[in-house]
Amino acid sequence: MTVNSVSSSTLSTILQNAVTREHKQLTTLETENSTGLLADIGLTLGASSGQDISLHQQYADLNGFSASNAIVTSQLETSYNAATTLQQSASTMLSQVIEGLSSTPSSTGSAAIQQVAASALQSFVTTANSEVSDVYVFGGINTGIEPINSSAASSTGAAQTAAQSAFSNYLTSIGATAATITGAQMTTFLTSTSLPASQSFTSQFSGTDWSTNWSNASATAQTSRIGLNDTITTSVTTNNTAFQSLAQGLTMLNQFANMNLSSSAYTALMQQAQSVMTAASNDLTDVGATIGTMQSAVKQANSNISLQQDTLNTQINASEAVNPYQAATQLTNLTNQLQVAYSLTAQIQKLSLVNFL
Amino acid sequence: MGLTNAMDIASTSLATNAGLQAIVSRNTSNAQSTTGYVSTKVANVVTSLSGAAIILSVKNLTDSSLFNAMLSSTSANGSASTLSAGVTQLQQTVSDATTTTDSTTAATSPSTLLQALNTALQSYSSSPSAASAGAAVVTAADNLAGSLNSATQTTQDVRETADQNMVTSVATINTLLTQFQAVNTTIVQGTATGADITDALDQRSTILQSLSNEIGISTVNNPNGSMSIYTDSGVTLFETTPRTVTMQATTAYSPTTTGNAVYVDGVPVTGSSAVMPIQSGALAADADLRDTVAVTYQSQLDSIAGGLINAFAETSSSGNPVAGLFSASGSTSTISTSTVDTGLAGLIQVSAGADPTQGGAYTNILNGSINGASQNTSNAASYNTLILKYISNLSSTTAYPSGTALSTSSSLTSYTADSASWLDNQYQSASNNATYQSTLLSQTTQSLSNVTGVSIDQQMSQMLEYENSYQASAKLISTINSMFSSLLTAVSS
Repeated sequence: MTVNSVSSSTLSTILQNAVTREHKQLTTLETENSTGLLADIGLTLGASSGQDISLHQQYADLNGFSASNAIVTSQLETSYNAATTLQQSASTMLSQVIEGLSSTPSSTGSAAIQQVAASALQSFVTTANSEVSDVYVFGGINTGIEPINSSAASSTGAAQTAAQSAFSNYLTSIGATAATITGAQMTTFLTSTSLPASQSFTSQFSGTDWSTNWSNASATAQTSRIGLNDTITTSVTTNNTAFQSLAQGLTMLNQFANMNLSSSAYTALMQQAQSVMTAASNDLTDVGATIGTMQSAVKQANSNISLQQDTLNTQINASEAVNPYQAATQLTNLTNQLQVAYSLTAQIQKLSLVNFL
Repeated sequence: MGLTNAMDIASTSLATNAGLQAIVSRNTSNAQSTTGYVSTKVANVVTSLSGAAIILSVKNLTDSSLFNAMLSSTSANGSASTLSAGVTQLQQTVSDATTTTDSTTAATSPSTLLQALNTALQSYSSSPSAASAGAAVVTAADNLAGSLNSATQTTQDVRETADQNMVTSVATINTLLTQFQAVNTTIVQGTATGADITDALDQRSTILQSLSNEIGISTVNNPNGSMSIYTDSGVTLFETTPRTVTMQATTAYSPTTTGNAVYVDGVPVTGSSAVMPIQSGALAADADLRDTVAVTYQSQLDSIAGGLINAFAETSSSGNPVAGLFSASGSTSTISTSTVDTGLAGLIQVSAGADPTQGGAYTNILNGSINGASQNTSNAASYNTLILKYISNLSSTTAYPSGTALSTSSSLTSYTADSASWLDNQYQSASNNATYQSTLLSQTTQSLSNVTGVSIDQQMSQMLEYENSYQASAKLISTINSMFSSLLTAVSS
């Protein structure tokens, strides 16, 4: 036998093998053409698939933020609206107080101020207890309980009765009545921090008394993870001085404005109310700004996330996607090749010396 | 030289021609044989003492170097295709690792489901008071534990299948060696008596080819025509008589099961105790799959399970770490980071304390009170400190046991990705090697077939030659006959 000889079995199997191989390639190319992705990513990428898997993990990680940041955003929005409402209510009250300053106590004027304060106090309680899907936004991490006691505005509630009894205790201690209390005495009552606990008005709006009578909010503010390495505080609690000042100012007017005070005591009350309400209004503006900053941080985080996702997407595509033009061309080439293989098989079958004998 | 002599030569030539035709028939009938190895037979035609051409012997075309190349290629292909099949099965457990998923998609690979758990935790961290977010975390955790359980099952199934294949392979080898002995004896006898042993040689080659698919072999030809077979590591498989190949089957596989070794002639050729381990053939690949690849993957799964239990560990009232969201069945202890806790991936589950259907509560996840002491002292509804800690645990670097073919210092997220990547790498190289070996085998087979195989065209042209020769001999006989007739006529007249 010579080097050039070819056995009959080689002649028939060589095309069989080629056709089998091409069929396998054909299924791969069909998948790639229809999906635009590699048919078997693990097989094609092998050891470098770890890189691809990490990219997917990062992508999914960022995806997780879209849902959670939406929740944070809606909570912040509610907080911001509530803070704005409170701030408006504070400035409305303030203008009433300024009006009251220039007038003497009269049954109608004083009563009007007292009524405005009472309804403002009621709406303060409602607004501070704003909630989004059962989450009280001003409660810190204690989101399951109303941050301001719902009875705080009620005349029989602990908060209001505490103010009443402090005033009557004070009057008893100085031997005066509501009608005889002087302006200086009134100022002392409303501002002094050194009065005994039973007579103290100011101490009710901070520390333990505030937590007992008014606020249920946790000392710990809510924190949220809004980006991969970005965990921020995302709430303001009712323990903030803005809420305390507002409650103080409104309680002052609600309790003492319509008590037939002497002219000087009434003026002292109005002066104190003005100063407290101004502070409350300013503090609430600050609260709004704080919440606004949080909102913008979330917004910033969201846009960072979508930028990062775009980049990740590009990287994922670079390793997984197939060039559709290339895939289509390969498919055409392979189909042609298969056709050639088929017609060659037929030709070779015809080509036998037996046919010519 | 007389006419009678010429007549004798011509008639012998007829017989020789008939013999040659018979060889052509034998060759053509086996030309497309697919059942085994068939070589072309050629007649050794010599001139006898009387001057006539006779068939002295029949040989087959051989090429020992190509044949040996074909044998080793068959072994390599046997091991490559077996390994590829097993690894492909393992790779199914991470086949969807290269997709992005959320907690609601039905995924199976640990890396994807870990990501889904991470996403669920992220949602839970921003709305800790929502029971639905807690439920999503438990579902994602359940899926992840289930994925590790089923990956363990798959891995052990692969080992069990490999074990069964090895038993079958050992039986096949023993049968082939017995057949080999019968054929070998025929060849030895035929060689001594000078009989036509070509078919027996073909048969022997076919047996060798089947044998080499199961186990890598090398052969030595002895002067009396017999052949000795050794494994590719040098252990005797056949020398005058077949040696026994044995292996004790293991019917059920758990991660802690060690498969039995294959013994050839009493010598272990697979497993850690093998001093002369076999290198190729399906048997070697199955042993590799059963004792190395699947075992390594199992240790990776176990390390992932350990990492998971540790990442969600809680603190007990006495300040010690205890298993939290995930635990090994019936145990609240955390897992060693220095040694692989074999089989852990099959036992990992979501602790009952986190699942309301098993008497637990979602808030236990928040408070760290699944098995530990609550860290949420004021019992606040939106306490998310621990959830944020768990999220950061998943991506922070910790220690992992050695001996898993992966880095010993990694984050859980990277570790799962690395494990999938390792498996994909095995998958790719096994698959590429299988394709390469199969192509190589078909090329080696073709080269061998081209040199020793039958070409029908060639046989046909030879047949024409023999036909002419037959006609010429017949013509000679008839001519000699007419010469005799003329002579006898002349004599009688």
